[in-house]
Amino acid sequence: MFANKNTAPSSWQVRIKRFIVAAIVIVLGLCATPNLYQNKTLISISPLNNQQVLPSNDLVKGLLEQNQFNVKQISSADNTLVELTQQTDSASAQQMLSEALREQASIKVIEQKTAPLWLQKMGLSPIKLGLDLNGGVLFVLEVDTDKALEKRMENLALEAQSIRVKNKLHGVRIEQSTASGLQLAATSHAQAGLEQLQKELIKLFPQLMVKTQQQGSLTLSTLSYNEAGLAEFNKQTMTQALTTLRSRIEELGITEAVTQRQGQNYIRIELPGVQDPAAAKRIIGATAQLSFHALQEVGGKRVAAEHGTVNLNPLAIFSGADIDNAQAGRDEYGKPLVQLSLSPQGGKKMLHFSRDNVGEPMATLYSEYIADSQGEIHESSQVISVARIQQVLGQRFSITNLDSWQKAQDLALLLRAGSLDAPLKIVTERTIGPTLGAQNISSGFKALALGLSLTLAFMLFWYRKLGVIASIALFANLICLLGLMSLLPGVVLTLPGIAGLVLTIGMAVDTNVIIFERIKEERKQGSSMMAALQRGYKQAQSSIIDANLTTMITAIVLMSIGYGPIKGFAITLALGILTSMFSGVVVSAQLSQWFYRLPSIKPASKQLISTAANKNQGVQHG
Amino acid sequence: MWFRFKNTVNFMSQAKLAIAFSAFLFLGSIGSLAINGLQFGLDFTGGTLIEVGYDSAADLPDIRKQLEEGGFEDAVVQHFGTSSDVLIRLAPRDTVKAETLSNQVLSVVSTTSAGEATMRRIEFVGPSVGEELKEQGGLAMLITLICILIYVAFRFEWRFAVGSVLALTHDVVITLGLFSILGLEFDLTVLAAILAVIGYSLNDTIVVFDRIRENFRKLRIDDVAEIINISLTQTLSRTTITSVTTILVLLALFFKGGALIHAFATALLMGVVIGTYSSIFVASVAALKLGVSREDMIPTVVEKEGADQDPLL
Repeated sequence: MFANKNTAPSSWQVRIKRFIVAAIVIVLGLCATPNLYQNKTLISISPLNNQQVLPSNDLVKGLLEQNQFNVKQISSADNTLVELTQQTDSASAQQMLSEALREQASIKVIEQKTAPLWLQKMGLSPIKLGLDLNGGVLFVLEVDTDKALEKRMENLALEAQSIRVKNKLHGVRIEQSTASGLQLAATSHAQAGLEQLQKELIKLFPQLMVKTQQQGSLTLSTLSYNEAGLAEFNKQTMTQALTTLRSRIEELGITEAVTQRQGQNYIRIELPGVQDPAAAKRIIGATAQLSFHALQEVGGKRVAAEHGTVNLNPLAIFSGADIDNAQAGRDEYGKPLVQLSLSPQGGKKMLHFSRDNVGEPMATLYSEYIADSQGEIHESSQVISVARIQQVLGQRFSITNLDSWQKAQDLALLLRAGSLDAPLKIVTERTIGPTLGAQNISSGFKALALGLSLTLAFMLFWYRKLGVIASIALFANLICLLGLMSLLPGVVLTLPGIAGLVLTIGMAVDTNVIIFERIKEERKQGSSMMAALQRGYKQAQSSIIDANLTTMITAIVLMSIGYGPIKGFAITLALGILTSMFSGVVVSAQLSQWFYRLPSIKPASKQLISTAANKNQGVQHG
Repeated sequence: MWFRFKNTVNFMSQAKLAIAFSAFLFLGSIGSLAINGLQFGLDFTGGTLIEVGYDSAADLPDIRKQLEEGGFEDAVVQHFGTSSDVLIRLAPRDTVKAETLSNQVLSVVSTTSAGEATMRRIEFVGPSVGEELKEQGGLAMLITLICILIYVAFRFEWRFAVGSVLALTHDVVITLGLFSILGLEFDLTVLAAILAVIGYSLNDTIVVFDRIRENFRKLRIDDVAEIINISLTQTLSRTTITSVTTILVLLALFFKGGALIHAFATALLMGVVIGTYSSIFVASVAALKLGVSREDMIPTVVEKEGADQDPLL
């Protein structure tokens, strides 16, 4: 370790090694420096579109002060940036401003870096703080993929129905659709029709599998997903839910949000800074879908409308997926409406339909999933408008006659953000107030400072000169750990994370303790300091590696099961093991070499010190 | 120094006493876990929790009365950290949506004799989540223990592996038992702490085992117990110093880390004390009783410790 028996390192090798060690510490130290400059939370006000002018600074300031928000600084260029005296109020101020200025500006809460420009240019940023330190709201949503599958199968049955009617496939029956599959049946002379139907359906949904069995003269066939298809379907449903939720949150003006998949079918959403979860919840939890249907005289789907019920053709003309953009607005009588623009595909569908049906009514169906008192999720549908098609419609038209401005705005937002096929259920919700967050930071760092000073004091008292080495190594460890945490994306500092940091400090000295105790043993047997140092570092190596690797196992297991705060703890612990091995062994070895002025090139005789005495070391030492 | 022993301490002569003591603690813990169970926190049980802060010391009976009048008879009200902070817990309920529940409670307790309440945190956990978490937590501990069993068996020998896993199980069960006996709340941070205890205690055990292996190879003594005694004595000061520094930082966390970290620090403090004891008495005694011998430890070619590793200097 200090020197290999056969090849003593030459002085330049030693120097290069020393240089590399110093370089690693310095680079990681540089990565840690942005943490000295915490991000500022600002409210950014930008015009909704090019024609609109920004509200004046005085107007904004007046609005804020009316609502008891103290403005520290306000500046305006392309956007207006507002800094509040109480930065934790930014989220509620944003809500208030969005409400007041909704016609002319879009208001967002943003984080601004305060580190010097050269640090920012290097792409370095401080460690992200978790919700428990920053304040904010956490949601965990369960995505009901089973329900989505059921719905998909229902759709499949509807498609099958329409194909059968269109191609006049007599003798083919569509039996039933469940989450596990769609059943078709055909009499013996309708075999060809059944096969044609299957082919058409598989063209639409390529992952379907067909299982056919004979029952007397009837041919029964089941269309269903195989395991891979099912996994693919679930994955698609989850991805769709994630993208939709992300764009909904973006629409809410929360830029620092974290939206990620958790486990099989959960989604975790963290909204830092948000204090009132009500608005966020209304938007995030909503599963509203809009579809447009033709009316039927008889049969079809009976749905509640404003006056009584109407019968709809269950197969939609087009659905929410075809909507490109949606904006809330008002008609000439001041009634709220939503203006829609469709994708080219949706526009084509609409064009075809409206051309053939001028003068006929068309219904707008609003459906959402609602949980009843038992927690069971049901689909609830309502026709929000029935309008006669006055002319051939294209890509742009409006849904008129909505109850309230709020409803129009929410609907527009939900339609813009994309559709959700699977119902969502909020299974966990945490709101951390800003005062608690601030308190958590301060108590966390108080504990860190106290733990660090106690450890340093103890090591200095116990080991004196070696203790100085341990103390410097401990600081190097802390710097490297903070640097690594800032460097790695996805590392979030939470309160348990700080606890992990504190624990790491206590346990990191262990590496040095193992080495130092070896050195003491060697000294007791009469080795020179130099020889004791060499042997101490060398012999301790296997203990240190084994001990740390096994701790790493627990940290990794913890990382793989935990979410949020626990994951934060596990990551700090795992990174702490790496850095403490580095600082405890490599850095402190360099330091001791330098401290005790070890010659860089050692005479061969020194290598052999006490190998003989070593044989019964344990007994002598006792 | 009080733990610098001139002579080898005969730890193994106390093996019987240690076994009796550990068995007593272990069975007591299992008994308490079976009878009292654990007081699971919100993460595991599901429900709603609301923490509010008042300007001055809060009057708990008053808040309880207000909640009762508001129709929340099942609310558990207690101080959290300081006397002006109050924690209100509600069991999961079917009829009211969680989002409205917390608002209702907040409005009920917002004004009391202690001034106005500010919301500090609201947590809602659905009941199914908790069940899943319990399963995952138990599974995590099992997986950790199995991984360790494999690693130690591979790196040392199966008797050592069994010894260390016995010691770790001992630590986990007794820490859980203490939580059960003292009626402390078992939340997600405590689960993390217990996994960290596994890491810590194992660290201790491995350092001892490593020394035992080294001494088996180095010393020409046939008495296995004596070799274990020598190794334990040699590592004793390291074991003690590391425990002291770890306990020091844990005390810092316990007293300064705030109420949210309290249970975490408590679990680790207990675990570190038990883990230190178990690495000396449980793991080594188990390895001894399972019959480790020099033959198991001596490789065909005597290799020098660390010779296969790159020089670090």
